Amino acid sequence: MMSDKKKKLTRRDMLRLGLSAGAVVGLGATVVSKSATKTVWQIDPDKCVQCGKCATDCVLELSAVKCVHAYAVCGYCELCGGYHRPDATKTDTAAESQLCPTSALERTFIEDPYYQYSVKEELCIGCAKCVKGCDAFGNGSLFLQVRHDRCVNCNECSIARVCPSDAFKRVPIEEPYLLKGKA
Amino acid sequence: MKKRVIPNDVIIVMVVMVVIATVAVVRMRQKPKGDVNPYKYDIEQYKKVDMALIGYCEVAEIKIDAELYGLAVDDDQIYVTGDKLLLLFDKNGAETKRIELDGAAKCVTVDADKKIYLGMADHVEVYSADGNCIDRWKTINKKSIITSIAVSESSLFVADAGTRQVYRFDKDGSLRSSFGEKDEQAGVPGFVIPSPYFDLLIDRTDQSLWVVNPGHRQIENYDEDGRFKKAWGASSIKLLGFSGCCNPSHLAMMPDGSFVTSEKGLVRVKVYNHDGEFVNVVVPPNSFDEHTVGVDLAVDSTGRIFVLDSSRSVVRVFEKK
Ligand code: SF4
Ligand code: SF4
Ligand code: SF4
Repeated sequence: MMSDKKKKLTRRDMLRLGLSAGAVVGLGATVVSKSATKTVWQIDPDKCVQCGKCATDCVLELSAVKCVHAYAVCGYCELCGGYHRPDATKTDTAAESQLCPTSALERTFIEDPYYQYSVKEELCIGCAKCVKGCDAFGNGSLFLQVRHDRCVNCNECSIARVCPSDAFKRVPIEEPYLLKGKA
Repeated sequence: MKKRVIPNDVIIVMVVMVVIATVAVVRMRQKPKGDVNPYKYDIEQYKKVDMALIGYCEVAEIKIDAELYGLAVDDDQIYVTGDKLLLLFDKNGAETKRIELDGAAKCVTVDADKKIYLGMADHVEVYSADGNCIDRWKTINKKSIITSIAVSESSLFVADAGTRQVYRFDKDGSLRSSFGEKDEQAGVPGFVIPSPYFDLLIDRTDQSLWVVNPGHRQIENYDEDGRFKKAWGASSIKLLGFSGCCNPSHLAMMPDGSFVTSEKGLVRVKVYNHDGEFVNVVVPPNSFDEHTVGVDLAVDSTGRIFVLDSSRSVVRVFEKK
């Protein structure tokens, strides 16, 4: 049976972050297994300066940090500062137009001229390029979060050690995500 | 059977080898490190502007102790809206009137009779020059987010980012018409408003209406009945075009009909001629704080450009070099 704690997280994350159902189930399971630790690492999105170190300094081969999307803030833009390179001449899905080094950001046509952007977590390396682009040229709806279905909750997070903006902090396991503008 | 004893120095060598092997494996699994992070995304390069292209210099600033939203100028006054505030300044920047409002006025305009029109969230309020509220028009729509207003001799035009429409009112507040629907056959792309920035102005040369279509990074010309005439503007991070998802965020017109534009994201203020050809830069990106948005603009009859810098809470004044 699911604990109350897990149920609460699942609903909240689904609503706030627009995470996929599968991802949220994974998150819940991990949270339960970590419940003895009481706090987990998280990124304060208002402090993150998108330096790129979340991609290079996690102890895991594929970083536990992923981009998440607050759909409610997104403009569903045809020309997306998070998806397209700033010098892209076409607003298409060609590889040379894309900013993401791993094509982890997926663009889906909604209705002319609106597009939805979603993160393929298995491809995302947490490099923050899209976050910086969205912040600089769009509505700032993309941001980085430590995903607790992957993070092994190191005593001393190796990204936190090198983070130039002191954006990593310990948060209560019951509230493991920090939303932009609300941290 | 005699037990084989492994000498201590062999054990030490084995331990050292295991440690070396472990470090090597960890190193191999490590991602690129070093001084230059391959994933660093440098957007500073786009902020650089050739000094020769900057055609204006800052001559004054008016510091205001409030959160600022909207700006307008006429021949002798500067009108600034803030949170629940309307402020009037003389041309030297001295505050002449402070009027308390019930809500936030995101935009302001003034007609030839000195009536002041304020775009509240979903309706228009009209004030006399001495600060009395003389009219409060009906709510346009519960979803309305009024972002810009402009007044002609007989009409008031309202840009509503909430409903993505432009509304035309008589000056007594009666609604005459609205437009903004996409119409492919008529070549009207419809207004694409990904964020609450949707500006318009009345042409100083022919009284037609110019409306920013930010999602298309263009500025569209309509007659007063909302019939599409022409458009200009291109999408580009370079100076010639408009950057990001939705720009320009604000628009003003010089006495000779040239346009002044401001952008969000890569914040910059530029001048284009009446045909939409880039002329020069008024304020380069490096002259704004990071994350500055909502740079409203106004131009007086002498061609001085007023720039509302919401991040620093100042109105900055620029003159041709
Ligand atoms: S290391 Fe810190 S500043 Fe750099 S991307 Fe990660 S959270 Fe942001
Ligand atoms: S740009 Fe980087 S952070 Fe964004 S989706 Fe791609 S890999 Fe993830
Ligand atoms: S705590 Fe460990 S696993 Fe989690 S993000 Fe930091 S380095 Fe990666």
